[in-house]
This record gives sequence, C-alpha cells and structure tokens, in this order.
Amino acid sequence: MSLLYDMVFDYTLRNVALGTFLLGLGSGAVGSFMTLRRQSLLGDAIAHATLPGVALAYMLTSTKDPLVLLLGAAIAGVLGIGAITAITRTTKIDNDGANGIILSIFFGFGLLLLTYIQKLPKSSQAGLDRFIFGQAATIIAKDVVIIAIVQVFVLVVLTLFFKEFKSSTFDPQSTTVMGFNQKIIDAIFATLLVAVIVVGLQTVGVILISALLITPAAAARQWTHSLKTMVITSALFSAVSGMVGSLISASRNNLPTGPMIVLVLTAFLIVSFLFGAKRGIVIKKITLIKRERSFDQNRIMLALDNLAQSHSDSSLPHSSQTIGLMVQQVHGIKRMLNHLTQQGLLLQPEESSYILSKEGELYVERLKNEGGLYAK
Amino acid sequence: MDILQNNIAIEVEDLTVAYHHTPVLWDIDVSIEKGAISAIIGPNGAGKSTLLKSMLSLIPISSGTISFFGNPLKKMRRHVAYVPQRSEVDWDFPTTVVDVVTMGSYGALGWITPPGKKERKLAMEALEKVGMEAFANRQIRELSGGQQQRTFIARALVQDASIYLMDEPFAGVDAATEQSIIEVLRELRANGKTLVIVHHDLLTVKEYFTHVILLNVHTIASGPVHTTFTTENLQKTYKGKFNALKGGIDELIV
Repeated sequence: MSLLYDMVFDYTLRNVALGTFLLGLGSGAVGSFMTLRRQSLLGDAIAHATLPGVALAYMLTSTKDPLVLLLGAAIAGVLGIGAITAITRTTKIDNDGANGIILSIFFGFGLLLLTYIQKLPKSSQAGLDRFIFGQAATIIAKDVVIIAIVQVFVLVVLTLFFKEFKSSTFDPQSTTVMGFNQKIIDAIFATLLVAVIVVGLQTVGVILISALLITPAAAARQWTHSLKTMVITSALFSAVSGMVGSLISASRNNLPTGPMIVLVLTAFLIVSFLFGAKRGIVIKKITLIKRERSFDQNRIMLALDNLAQSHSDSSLPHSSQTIGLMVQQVHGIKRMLNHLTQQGLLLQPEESSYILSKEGELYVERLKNEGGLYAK
Repeated sequence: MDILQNNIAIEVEDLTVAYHHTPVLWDIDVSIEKGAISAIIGPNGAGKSTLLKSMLSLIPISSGTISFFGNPLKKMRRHVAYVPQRSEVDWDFPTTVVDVVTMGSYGALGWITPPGKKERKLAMEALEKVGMEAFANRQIRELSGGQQQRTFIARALVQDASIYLMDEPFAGVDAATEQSIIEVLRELRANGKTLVIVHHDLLTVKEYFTHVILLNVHTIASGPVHTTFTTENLQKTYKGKFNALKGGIDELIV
C-alpha cells in the first residue's frame, strides 16, 4: 500500500509511473503488429542497433541531454533497419539472419564506444550504461513530456493507418495489388517501431526493450480473436507491466528496471497462456472435454436408436450393459445415461434400462441430418 | 470507362522473369480477349503463378511489358482484382470472415479512410453471392479450405473489378464448392468481366473455360479452347509426363 501512496504523492515515483505506463501503451500496440508480421526479432535488432548512436551522440556533443542522445539512437536505429533491408534484398540471407547480424555488429560497436567513453578523463561515468539495462528512477518531468508526445504520435499514426496495417499484415500481395505501396507501409511501420524503442531506451534498456513489444502481444493473443481487441489489450498489458515493474524497481534501492518489467510481463504471459479466454490451455482443455462428452453422448443415442430398429418391439428398454457393449470405451456410461435421462432424451422404464424418449428420437433424427457423431 | 471498351483486356509482350539468373518465364506473349475466361495450364514449375504475379508487378520482371486495356497496371489498379493461393496467407490471423471480405473495398477507399457501413454492406452482399453469409462473423481460422477459397472470392467480388486474376481457386475444394465457385465465375463473365485462372485439372478445362494458355516456361500455345487444347499442344506442354495423364482424357480434348 505504501507503494500506492508514494505513487500518488511522491513526485519522482509519479513521473516513473506515468512515464512507463505511456511507454507501454505504444510499445504494446506496435508490438502486436510486429509479432503478427512475423518480425518479432526486428524490435530486438533495432533496439540493440541504437546503442552506438547514443554513444556517438554523446562523444560528438559532450552533453547528456536526453533529446540529443535519443536523436542519435533514432538515427542508428534507422540505419540498422536500412542495413537489415539491404541484406535481405541483395543476399540470400533471410530475415532472422539479417536481424542477428545487424544486432550483434551494432551492439558490439556500441559497447566498444561505451567502454572508450568511460575511460575518458572528463566522462565522470557519463551514466550511459543505464541505456543497457534501463533505469526508471532517472525519469524526470521533461522525459515524461517527451514520452507522452512520442506515444501520442505513435497511437495516432497507428489508428490512422490501421486499415493499411491490417490488410498488409494479413495479405501483403493483395494489398499491393489494390494500390497500397508496401514500401510506404513498411516505412511508416518502421518509423513507429523506432519511435517506441528509442523513447523507452533509458527506462528499459536496449537489451530488454523488445520484451515490451513481443511479450504483451503474445499474451493478448490468448484472450481474443479480434485484431483491434488484441492491439488494445496488448497496449494495456504492456503499460501496466511497465508501470508496475518500474515502480518496484524505483522503490527498491534502484533494482535494474528492464529485468523487473520483464518479470511482470512474464507473469501476464503465464496467466494468459493458462487462462486466456480464447487460446489458454485451460479453455482448450475444457473445450476438448466438452467435445468428447458430446461425442460420447451422440454415440449412446445412436446406439439406442440402432437397438430400437433391430428389435421387432422397438419399445423395449435396453440395459446399460448392452448399451456399454455397443459403445465401448465410453467412461462413466452409467453417469452419462442418467444425465441423458435427466435431460429428457432417454426414459428409464426399469432400473438400469433405457430407451429413447420422443425428444430423444427427434435428437437422433437431427444428428443423422447434421453430420452424425460429430454434430454438436 | 471508355478504356474498358478495348477488345484486348490483357496484353503480355516479351515477358521474361528470372530467379537468380535462372529463367522461370521466357519470352512470354499472351493476349487475352475481353470477356474471356482463360485457364493457365502447365506442369509444376511451369511458371503459372509467376506469370500471374509478374502481371501484377508482385515480382520484378527482367524484361517485357504488360498492359491492361492498353494501360500499365499503375493506372488500372481499380479494374484489376487478384485472388492469391489460399496458402499464401496466415489463416490464424485474428479476424473474421466479413472483415477479410471488407478488405476488398480498401483499394476504392484509398489511404487512411476507414471502411464504414456501406463497405460492410458490400461485403455481406458478396458473401451471399458465394453462399457464405452464415459464416460472416466466424473466425477465419475455423474455415475449411473451400470456405477460405469462397471468402477470398467474395473479397475479390467486393473490388468490383473488370479483370480477375485467380491462382488455383479450385485447389483443395470439394465438388460442391467447385460448382458454386464456377457459378460465380460464370456470372462474372456474363457481366462482361475478364477472368484468368491458374488451373491444374485438365479434365474440366473444356467445361469451364473459353480460352487456354499452355505454359511451360515458354508459351506453348494460347487461344480458344476448341483450337488450342489439343493432344499435340498438351504433349508439348507436359512433355513425357503427358502420356501418363493421357488415359482418361482423350474424350475431353478437342
């Protein structure tokens, strides 16, 4: 509760909470499209590619002004995307390969520059290493304003081009034939991706920021089959995880923020995989059991129909043993017979003997018309 | 719309396409009459899908020109609809049938403008034409192959184009679906539309199509079915493999 109290009344924590919440909104929304476009690694590659940009911006200007450093990061990120595109277009290396190559080259170069900077006499540590793991506690009001502007820009653009993103993600070829230039769509998308990554760098860090893009999207997918709902859910998951993770990190002796956020995201993901309303493991299992039960019930109903037809006196009930012989491998047959009786589909003229009721006969009639055993 | 009065709907001249310096299509010349329903026929690897895609500028061409009613594709996009192979998209994409069909209206809407009630209505009408109205709000992942195919065709209907290019619309669908699809195609033709269809079933060529393009990297022959779909031409197209096919097919060839 004290965390909640601080969040409302502590100036620093309020900035942290607001900043990371906004950060998550755009990341989660853009991340949904990134994963659906099967470009999950792209975010990671761009994030790592920004590091040399931060270092070079500092070396050239000797300032730690976040705007300058983020501009450097953005330029490096765009160069990274350009390099990935060039590699996939001109060589036989696929997307994954190109992402991996650019990620390691740029990140390696960035680390080299950071080490060099730390050895400079005037550097006073420059504090640039916070870009690697992220440090939410450093968010000040000015950062929140930058984050807010960028996130509003991202969400507005995403809303405006929602139709284009949707169609080109589902079927890029037909979208092209309809007159939408795929390169323009890709460029707009890349801009959004670079924007959400760059603005989150100093909070979450280059190594883990892609988690804010991919993980909430994967979690959101478990809850819905609608693209719009998925994008909104993912944005909220990401925002809440970002906020909770960074608050814990900022209030506990400055634990690194990136890893803390990832832990919260993981909790969302695990819960979603287990209990997600559309694809969660539990709901799938329940659906499976229901389907098996209705399959078994249908077998029993058809068996009774069969028995009725093959006996001269069709009004004669049949014992549960006889029915059990006809429908082998049905578990709990007595319970199921009772259940069907309660539903009014069967009659039980004698103890443990059953026959189709009028309703049951109608049910069988419908079954036969609608695909037999598999009808619902 | 005067443009569409031209008698030749599609003209392909000297088209060559190569992947990594290996020609996939070599010096293709095809001209397709307005109002024809043409089959592109040829063995696997003959370049059938590649021909469709290069006509639509979806893959780079090495040389040649393609025109629709005498104009480059750029000017004619609104008049051309494409139905890709079912396998080319991810059917696990989170969306509904009516949503996919509505996408057919995106070209007419242009950038940014979102689809509204009018587009939704067009989509429902198209779904009715292919007998899929009951599936409008289904998730696309729940569809069978034939239903996926009909969804794609409905999306093309929404585009209300003059020329329809379809890649294997009959692949993996049952006989009933094939019948309902061919009925839709015939109706399109009756309305003066031009259809070009990559097809793999030699047995139905005579029944379904007015024209045929026999392709095997080169254009082997192209023209009306009754003069072009001959044993001799098929032998040239399928080479050695044709004798194996020949058995039950004699009576189907002109």
